[in-house]
Amino acid sequence: MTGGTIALVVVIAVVVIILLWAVAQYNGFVRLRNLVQESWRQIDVELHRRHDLIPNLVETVKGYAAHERGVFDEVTRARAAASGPGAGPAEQAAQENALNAALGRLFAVAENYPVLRASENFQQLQAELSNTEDRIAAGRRFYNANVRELNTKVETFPANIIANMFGFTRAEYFEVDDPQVRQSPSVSF
Amino acid sequence: MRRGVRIGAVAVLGLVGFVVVTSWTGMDGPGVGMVAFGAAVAVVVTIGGRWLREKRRQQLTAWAARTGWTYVGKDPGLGLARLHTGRPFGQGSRPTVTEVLTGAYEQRPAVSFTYGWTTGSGDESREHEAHVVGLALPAYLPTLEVTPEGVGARLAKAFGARDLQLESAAFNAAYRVDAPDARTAHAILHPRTLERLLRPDALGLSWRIEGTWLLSWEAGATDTARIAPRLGVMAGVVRGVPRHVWQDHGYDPAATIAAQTDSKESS
Repeated sequence: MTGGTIALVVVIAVVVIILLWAVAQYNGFVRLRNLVQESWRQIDVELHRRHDLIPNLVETVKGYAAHERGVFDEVTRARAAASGPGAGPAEQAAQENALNAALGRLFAVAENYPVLRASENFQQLQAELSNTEDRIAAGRRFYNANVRELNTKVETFPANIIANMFGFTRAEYFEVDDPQVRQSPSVSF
Repeated sequence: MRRGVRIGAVAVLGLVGFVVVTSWTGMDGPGVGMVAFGAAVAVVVTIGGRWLREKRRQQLTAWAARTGWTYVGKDPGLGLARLHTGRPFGQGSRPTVTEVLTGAYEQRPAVSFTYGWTTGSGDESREHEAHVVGLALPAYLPTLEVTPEGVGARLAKAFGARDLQLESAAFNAAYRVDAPDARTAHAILHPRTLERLLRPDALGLSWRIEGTWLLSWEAGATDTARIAPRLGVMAGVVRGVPRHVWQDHGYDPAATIAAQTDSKESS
């Protein structure tokens, strides 16, 4: 075998290795992107579950404190904005923050009505809302872990070469300010 | 220990057989003194092994009586060891389940046993033991294994083993997490549980949720002093499983508590 042939074989081997690496990287990016999208959809399901609970909650509080119209309107507006279609994580987070603030005021109103707080329906709704918030918190952690993995891969060398070539970009984190949504889940045994 | 008893019995029989054969065939055999010494050693090994085994049984029975547990002894059916697939089970050959203790911890069924197995064969044969402690779960949960991060774990990762990265750098540095269902693993390992697992009494503990059991294992035979501390950590993990995770797997802790309260009130 001549020196030229050996060089050719080495070059071909190197090219094949690089191609295999590029394919593996590309597939890795696709897998991660799909995982991020799937975990976001899961959060979306939980957010809808939470939004669906709010009208019942408002109606229950209304039954005891009908004159607090301003708070009810605020919650209804914030819920309508948050449950609108097609928002990305950052926009959704802002809307959820507004809804959380409105809900905080609704619960502050409820605090002034001991009979309301003692009602079984209200307690059940509150427990269901808290459970849904735990689900959102768990989903958020899973989504953000996937985003962290994707973003790290997009930014680190040499994987970023493939990311730039095929248009894989950073994903947005889903971050909420409300302490109830951020907290660890409540565990009841 | 039991192996020592078996060796002693075989040695005695072998020695007697050897003496009988050599006297029949007229071959030169060992002197009477040598035979007597060998027989004495074999008897000491046999009786010593039996005594040690009885002493161990008494210790475990006394511990069980003190703590309200039950000493079961050995489990020829292998019990839990047959139900589980991950470490320390399913390694080597000749598995044994001995020193079985059963009881309850925080109102949940619990078990402790020594799991033994053999690797290699002939002169290379080696016996291994692990002390397994199990805590029953109220419902099936997907498999989740948490083991201390070490050289072995790093090597496993280099060869493609999974390691779930969580939001705590300290936890990621201390443990390796393997879970086919990453979503449920993230839900179970929430910040409060991560914090619990970073406390000194929990660091270094290997545990796995598999089916309806949470198991932890440590090298060596049963150490009764380690049962309660390990169960304490494991019960913390179980208590920390969020309600929605149980609900997703067909069990609602809140509903169970409500049903118990109702039945107490009606009785």
